[in-house]
Amino acid sequence: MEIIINTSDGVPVYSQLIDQIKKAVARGDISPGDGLPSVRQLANDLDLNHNTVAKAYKHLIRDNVIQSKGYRGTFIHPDAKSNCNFDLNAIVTNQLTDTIKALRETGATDSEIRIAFANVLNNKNISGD
Amino acid sequence: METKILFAIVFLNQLFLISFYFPRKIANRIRFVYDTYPPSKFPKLYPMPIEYYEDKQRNYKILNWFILVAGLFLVTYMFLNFPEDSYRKRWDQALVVAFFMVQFFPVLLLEIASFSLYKLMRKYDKRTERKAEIQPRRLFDFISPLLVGLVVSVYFAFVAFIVYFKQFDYPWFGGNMNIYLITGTNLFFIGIAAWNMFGKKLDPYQSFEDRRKQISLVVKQLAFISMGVTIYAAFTIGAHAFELRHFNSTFMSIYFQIIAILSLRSIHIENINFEVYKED
Repeated sequence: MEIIINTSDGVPVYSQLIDQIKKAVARGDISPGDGLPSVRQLANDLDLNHNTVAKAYKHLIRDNVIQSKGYRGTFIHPDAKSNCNFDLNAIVTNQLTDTIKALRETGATDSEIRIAFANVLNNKNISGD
Repeated sequence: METKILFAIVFLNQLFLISFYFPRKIANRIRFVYDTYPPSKFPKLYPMPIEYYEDKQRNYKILNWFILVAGLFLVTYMFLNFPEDSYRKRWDQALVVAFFMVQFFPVLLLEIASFSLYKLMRKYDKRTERKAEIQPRRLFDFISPLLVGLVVSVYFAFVAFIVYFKQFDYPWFGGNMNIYLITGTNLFFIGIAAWNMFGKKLDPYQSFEDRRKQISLVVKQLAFISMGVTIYAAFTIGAHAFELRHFNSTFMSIYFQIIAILSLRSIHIENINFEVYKED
């Protein structure tokens, strides 16, 4: 099983990595419990910055597609197959689209929405941060 | 006199093995690659014009011939002029070490040249698509646990040997320094193995399968060299203690020949996938 990334593609490399690992899990090419290459190995093989691969792994860990077992390495999560269809980006995008649509209907301008969005996002007092 | 004759025979063997047999084998291998996989059909294999490789190969041959002839003079000089007790001043050992380094110099030059060629291959590689295996590479994918166990056992046997030897209080004995040196050497080998397993791929076109074969070869070579170095270190201490120092240069030459045989092994050319070097 191999992973292929295209550096001239408009899609960020770390997203390509996430997408390919999720697709490989969905297709059954890699199964729960299978080991994944270390960040260092994958970054060197693909000639990428280690942080790019680390970022992709971090997102996959967050989505419970992979799990880190310390010095033993990184493995496919037992529930990876069901979790790999979960796309947090799509959820965030849909939610924001609905919110922005609703705000526009109230007469708020894009500039106002942008400023308010940045203020809310930067507000450390919001629960969940 | 017998010691000198024995040394001359062993040293001559070292000369022919490292400065004649292996260079010829390497040159034949390079020639086979040029003839079977020519630049016209396999352009990715040749980032430089063919004349560059021919120049390098010629220089390599000349250098080895020069070393071979110099070695023959040296062994004759040592045989005729060195006193029987030269081992006491370690002249013969120093010469064997120095000459082994000289003999390995062309190999070093060849390695440096191949590193710069790989660098050029990577520079000229304009593909935007990159591939990687999704399997982790682990030590035991490349070497049997038995061999690793053997390497570890040899190392601990050496440590035990040094600890045991310390009780005799030989004035020449380096004590724990021997353990530090062998540990340092083994750590260096571990570093090379890790670099081969997880480091950047030198040849951008090399197939996954070939890379695995290459790593396996290097890791096994390092394991055998590690055992060789450790056993030789114990052996020299033992030889010193049993007053066999006059054989030291002979043992050293045999040891260097073993190291050369172990380190100059390469993958069978028929098992390398050259299709990856064809034009897209």
